[in-house]
Amino acid sequence: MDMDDRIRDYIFKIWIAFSAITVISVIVYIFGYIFVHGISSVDMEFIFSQPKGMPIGTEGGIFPAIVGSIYLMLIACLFASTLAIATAVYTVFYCDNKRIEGIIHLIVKCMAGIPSIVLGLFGYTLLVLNLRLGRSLLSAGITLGIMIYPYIEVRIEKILREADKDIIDSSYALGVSKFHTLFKLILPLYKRDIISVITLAGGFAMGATAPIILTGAVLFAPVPKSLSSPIMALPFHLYILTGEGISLEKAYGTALVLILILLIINILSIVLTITGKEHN
Amino acid sequence: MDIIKINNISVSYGDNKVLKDFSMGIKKNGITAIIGPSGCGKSTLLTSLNLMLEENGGSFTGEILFKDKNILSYPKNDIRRMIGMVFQKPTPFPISIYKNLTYAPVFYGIKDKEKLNEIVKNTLIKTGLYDEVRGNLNMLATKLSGGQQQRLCIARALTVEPDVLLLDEPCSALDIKNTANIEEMLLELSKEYTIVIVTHNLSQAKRISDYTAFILDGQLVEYDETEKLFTSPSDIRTKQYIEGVYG
Repeated sequence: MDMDDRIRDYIFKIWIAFSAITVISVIVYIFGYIFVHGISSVDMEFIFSQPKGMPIGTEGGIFPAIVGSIYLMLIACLFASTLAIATAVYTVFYCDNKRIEGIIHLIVKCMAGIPSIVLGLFGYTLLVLNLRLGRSLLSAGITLGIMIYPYIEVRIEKILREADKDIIDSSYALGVSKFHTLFKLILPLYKRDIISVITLAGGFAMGATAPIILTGAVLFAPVPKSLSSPIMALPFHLYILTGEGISLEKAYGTALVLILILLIINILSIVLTITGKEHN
Repeated sequence: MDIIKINNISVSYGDNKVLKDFSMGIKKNGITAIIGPSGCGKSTLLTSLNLMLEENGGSFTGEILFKDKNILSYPKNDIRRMIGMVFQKPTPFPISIYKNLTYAPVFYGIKDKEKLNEIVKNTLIKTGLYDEVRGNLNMLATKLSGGQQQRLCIARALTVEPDVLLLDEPCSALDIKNTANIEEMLLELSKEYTIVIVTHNLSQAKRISDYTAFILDGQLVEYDETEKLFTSPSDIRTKQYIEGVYG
């Protein structure tokens, strides 16, 4: 190694160290800041009661928003993963035409690039107005589902593409149909990885605000009773509390709860991936 | 009687022609070995017989008869059930031993637990695995040793009661002891099943096969009783190959 290489190596190491320190400090700072400011308003009452006060949100809790966000995540995941698994299975196992495959990939990539507020507007026009679903849990959930669909599709397609070809061939060689091979062997084998991807995407959906502003999130609503009820959601509640200057303190509390839920979801997803690797 | 008749097939992957105007008959029961240097088309020949060829992007012209009927006239799944295949690398499914063996029967509609247990037991006995794994049927199949995995794959192929078993260099990843185990088992199985084995190992072909076919550059050079092919080959190229001049 000559002098130049040594210097380059040294500079590269400094660069890595600098990046790592920056990223870690930013994360610690965000978490720390939200924790310090939010912890004082988070207690059992905050988590388990409805918002109260005048204007609403200055007192009371965020229970309907927590439940609303979880419902939104479930609907988004259900909607997106149904379509995403179908797309991924089709492109990997059934599509023989490279051109069609290319078009599908192009569409999925374009979908991933749509700004989330535009998706919100689309959901508002199509679901709320034209399909008359109203501003509701269902409209907002489906809009979020459209947002996370490309994210799930790309990752499931990757999982399926990297699935062991020898195992698939062995199944075909037994005369077992493609359908049975897929649904009884391949998908169950990669079940944990797939669920992990969906969970992660669900976390992403739960944190998104723009798609739900126009499609279903409201300032105040009780815990939703049906798919057609308007809902409260954590990120929207946070946005309103801060944006309207209702209560910064409660906003930090809401942020803390949201971040903790997302943290749990992410950890769950990682655990699933790790145990999935052990299982295989 | 020939259970499989191959009439003038040409096989290609895209523009790459692998077998040219190839004809050969495979006798019912007994073991037929297919030998030849790497890339001569041995494996391609096997995959043509159970239509796995198309999964690998190949296609053929000409006709292949199975029990005197064109294999293309059977549903693809039926052909693959009747003509089983075992690959070079052991490919157990990463599920339990038991489920490996019930996977295909369940697909073919067998639901009765007793019947499934019987299939598992019988195929394990036939492949000599029964005593080794009987207490561990719920163990992950991928935790078995290499030799056991390959025998399990053969057992798995037998669960759907095939007539023919195609083996593509089944012992190339195994040591001498495991190879001996499998050879002994194949000899036993050949009483009931027609076995076609592709092998690089000439002494293996000599030890276990009744007939041997020598393929070179996608063409059948010589096909005869194993004894005759190895002791007095009629083609000079066969003689050179078995003497190790090339290959």
